Amino acid sequence: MLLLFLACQGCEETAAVPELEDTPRVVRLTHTQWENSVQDLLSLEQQTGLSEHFLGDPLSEGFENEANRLQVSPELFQDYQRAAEALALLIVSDLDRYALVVPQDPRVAGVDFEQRLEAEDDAVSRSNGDYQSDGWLLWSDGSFSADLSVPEDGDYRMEAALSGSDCGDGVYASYQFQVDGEIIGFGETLPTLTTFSATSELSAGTHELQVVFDNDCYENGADRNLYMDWMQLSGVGGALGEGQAGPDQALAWIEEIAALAYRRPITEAQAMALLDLFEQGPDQIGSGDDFADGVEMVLVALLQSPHFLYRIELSELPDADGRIPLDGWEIASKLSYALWNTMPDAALFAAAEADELGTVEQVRSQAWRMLQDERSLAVVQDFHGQLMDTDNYANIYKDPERFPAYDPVLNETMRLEVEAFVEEVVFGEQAGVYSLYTAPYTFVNQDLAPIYGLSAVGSELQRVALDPDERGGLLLQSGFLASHADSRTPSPIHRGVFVDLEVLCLDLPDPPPNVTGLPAQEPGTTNRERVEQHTGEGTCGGTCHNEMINPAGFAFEGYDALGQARDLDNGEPVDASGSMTLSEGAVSWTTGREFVQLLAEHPDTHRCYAGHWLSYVQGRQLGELDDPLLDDLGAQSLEGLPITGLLVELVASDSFRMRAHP
Amino acid sequence: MKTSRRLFLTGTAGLTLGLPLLESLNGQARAAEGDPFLFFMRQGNGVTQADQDEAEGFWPSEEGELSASILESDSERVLSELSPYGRSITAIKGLSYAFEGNGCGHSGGGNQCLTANQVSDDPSGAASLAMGESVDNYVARAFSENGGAPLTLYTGPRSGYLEEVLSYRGALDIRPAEDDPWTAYQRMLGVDDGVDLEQLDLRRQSVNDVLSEQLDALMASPQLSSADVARLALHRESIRDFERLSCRVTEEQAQAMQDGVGLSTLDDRRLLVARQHLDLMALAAACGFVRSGTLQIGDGNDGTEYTIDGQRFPSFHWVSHRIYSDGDDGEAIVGAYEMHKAIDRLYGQTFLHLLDRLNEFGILDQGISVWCNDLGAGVSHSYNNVPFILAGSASGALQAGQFVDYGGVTHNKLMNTLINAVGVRTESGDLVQDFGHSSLEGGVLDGLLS
Repeated sequence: MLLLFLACQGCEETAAVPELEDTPRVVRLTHTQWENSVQDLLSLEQQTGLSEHFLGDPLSEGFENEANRLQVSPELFQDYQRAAEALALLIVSDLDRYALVVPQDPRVAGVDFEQRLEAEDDAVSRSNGDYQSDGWLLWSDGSFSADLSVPEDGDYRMEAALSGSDCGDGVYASYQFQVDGEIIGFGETLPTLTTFSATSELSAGTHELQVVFDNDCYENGADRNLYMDWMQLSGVGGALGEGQAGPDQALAWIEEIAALAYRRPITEAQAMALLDLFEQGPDQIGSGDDFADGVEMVLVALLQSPHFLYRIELSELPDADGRIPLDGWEIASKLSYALWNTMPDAALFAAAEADELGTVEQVRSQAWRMLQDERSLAVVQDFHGQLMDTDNYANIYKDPERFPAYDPVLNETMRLEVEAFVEEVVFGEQAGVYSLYTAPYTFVNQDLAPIYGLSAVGSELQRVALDPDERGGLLLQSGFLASHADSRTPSPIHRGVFVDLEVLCLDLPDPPPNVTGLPAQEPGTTNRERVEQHTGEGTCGGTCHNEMINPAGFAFEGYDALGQARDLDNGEPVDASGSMTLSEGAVSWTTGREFVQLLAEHPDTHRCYAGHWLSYVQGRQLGELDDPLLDDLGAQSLEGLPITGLLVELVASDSFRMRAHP
Repeated sequence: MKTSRRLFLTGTAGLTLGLPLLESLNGQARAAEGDPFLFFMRQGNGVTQADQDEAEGFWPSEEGELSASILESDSERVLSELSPYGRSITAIKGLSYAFEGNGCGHSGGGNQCLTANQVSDDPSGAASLAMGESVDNYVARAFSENGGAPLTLYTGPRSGYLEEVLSYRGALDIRPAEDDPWTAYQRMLGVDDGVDLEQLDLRRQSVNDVLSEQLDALMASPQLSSADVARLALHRESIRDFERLSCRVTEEQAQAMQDGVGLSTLDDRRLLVARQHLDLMALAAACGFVRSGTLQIGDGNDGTEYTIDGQRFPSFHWVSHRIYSDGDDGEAIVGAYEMHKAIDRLYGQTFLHLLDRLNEFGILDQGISVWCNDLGAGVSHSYNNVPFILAGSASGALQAGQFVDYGGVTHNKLMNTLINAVGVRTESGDLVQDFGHSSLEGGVLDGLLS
């Protein structure tokens, strides 16, 4: 362990604290983080989907979020530019969106009109039915109708709060919205009160609005009726209309929106540069709406700004221990992108503003809060998806001759199985690494169940118990086993290399260049025998394969190329037994289930898992200065710390909250 | 009220930002102006040439002159697929990659293919990278088109094994490739038809000025590491005006590309997407938009399951090893050699598609198009006799229409030859002789330059 010794001036003690590994100060958002951040910044109802067309990032050795691979090339710059322009235009083209992003410039809708009528009002005529619980029930075909006068030509939205019953057949009351006898919208109601709407262009003057019920039914006591609470007509937003905001509001808006986009308060110089851009809006865009043109200019710039596109840490003042603590804004962003893959929420910003992210306890408490939010689920699933390389499950293919039951639809199901399993272990059970590799349950649907010798109904994944002597955890799931196999035969080498590198974090040398293939499997020999002949003791692959790779791979020989349990291979009994030397001495096993059990109980596995998370949240490869933290996290995990707890301890660590002082 | 401008960008999922652009077509590319170009189409996994016990199935039977009739009469050989352009074809045998791979033959071959440079020690194995610039980037930098950048295209799986291996800005600095033709096309167009370009450019300039200042200020922060600064510097250089493609694909082509959005990684669309990419390449050359470009087909060790005559073959990489495996573990594939040869023919037909497009634009002989490979042959996966099949003469700079076997020289000499053929010279006006790693013997291939 490397230690940094600092002379403590004016006192006799010498402080010794672990030195920290250097971490990039400028980290570009991944495309997923860009999507989430844009959605949050602009208060969009869903993701834009635009990043699907962004230039992909090159393959990285570690996780996809490794900072060194996240670059902005000319092609990606163009992609960001076009996305920024499209999004800025989207905001200034729609009143509702504009109101959310630019509250400093309140606008009035295109037509200022709104009138609501209760179903039981005198102004509404009802062709049949009865007053009921603050509304009106039509019990046979008929309508609600009312005459309404609108002040000017324009777009109007007709709405009604409706519910319906069914006739024992699951078909609920249907409705039509009519204006002057023309249908402008229709649909089927729900049993719960729901607001339905339709829009129409109306001329100034009086119009007849109707809500029509036309599928009445009464059968065996079941009665289909339509219930209405109220109906309403209002002017539609869309165009921005007139505004009154001026230069003061412009600056106030810039300071607020830029602080969100940059995820920290902006400097006066930054504000002035943006204000200058704002003021160029009327010239450069010239729509006639000067304020909105300024907004559009500034949004285009903000969405392309390096302060938005990168997570930036410029803190440089070392503390008494000679390390650089991140400031509150930097911690807020780092936490948020680590646990949510998006920008900080209002609570994190408030904590940064109040300087309440400076202590371990404060960070822990934020992290626990964040892990209650479902945004952390997507991150946990993404991490495990990359760890298990579940994207690659799409390339699984099995020889139909050997596996007649194989259907390519299983590939995606296997990926979803991992997602569901990880969610259950990490959040449902609040369990730890031990369960990740041993939990005797998984999630299957009717297609996947037969691989486990089970049966299930329907296409939805459902939790099922597995034979605890045969299965348990990620490594004995179909996806891992099937993706580390060729179309006919399990691949002990690929399975073994995965365990060595990703589960135990052993240091394997690269294979020699241009290795040749194995001979065909002879009748009466097992896959294990074939691989041993080629790579085992006495061959050129002897050392690596015999001691490190083959034993870990052979452990899974009790599962065929599709992941089904098997006792026989090529007519011969399967031998999954083996032994390996790990950091704490030799281990041995007789079955795959025993092997994953000893992996789950081994310190190397826990330390390795913690290391993957550290690499993921830091966006870099690990270095030896990470060792003390990994020793600590690994030990806690081995003691049973849940994965959520591991994440909290990780982000509360010095390594996460501080930087190395060069 | 803002209704005049149309949006030009849409997501395939998520928020709808506007209607997809339907091309208003204004016909063909503008007339060729004689600027030479250099394109590469890369196949993986070697070809069915004589290797170990296997018969020759690729090269023409005789060295020397090539013509339509000579290639056509050699119908058992894969290169007969190119017979329509026999006089324009130059088949070059006897070239080797000079350097060892690093743990993975495919990354070693792919990384050397256009760089003639060493393969990195770190990263190693499947993640290894080239230690130098690639020829497409080198040639692009010599000209002003597309801001001095090549067109970099790919069709293959994402998160595949070794995705892009071809195009490098410099040592360890790989250029990510675009895998979706429609996106590549939209990026070339730059804007929607009907936009006031002058106004848009002014507006972009104002914004870019602010962005450049922000990046300059950031890069000046003394705390940053050199790696941090290097990433920001690339971003800073990427802020520029972009040329816009002045011509359009046909309505059918546009629709086909649009219909394929989101499907570009599927095996059964691999060569269909390749053809769409090649259409764009030809169009870009015809419109004077780029001077060089690459299309990598398949990931590092192309695992595409090609379907030929209704039969879905196993992974091409397995076929190339003749076993049901990626190289270390598997049973023999019956008929693998014939499968590989059929796939080679498919690639020949795909290359022919590019030549057809270029020919339609009247620019086939104005540049040079190269069908290259990361390996020589399938079974041995060797770096010897790596096939380089050229089409076009760069308006006569290259002596096309021949099959030459150089008997084992390093392929950097071909790179030098190609660089000179498309008109690039040293600062002092001499032939470029030293592309690639400095340890290699320089010079050009004999008898190719006119």
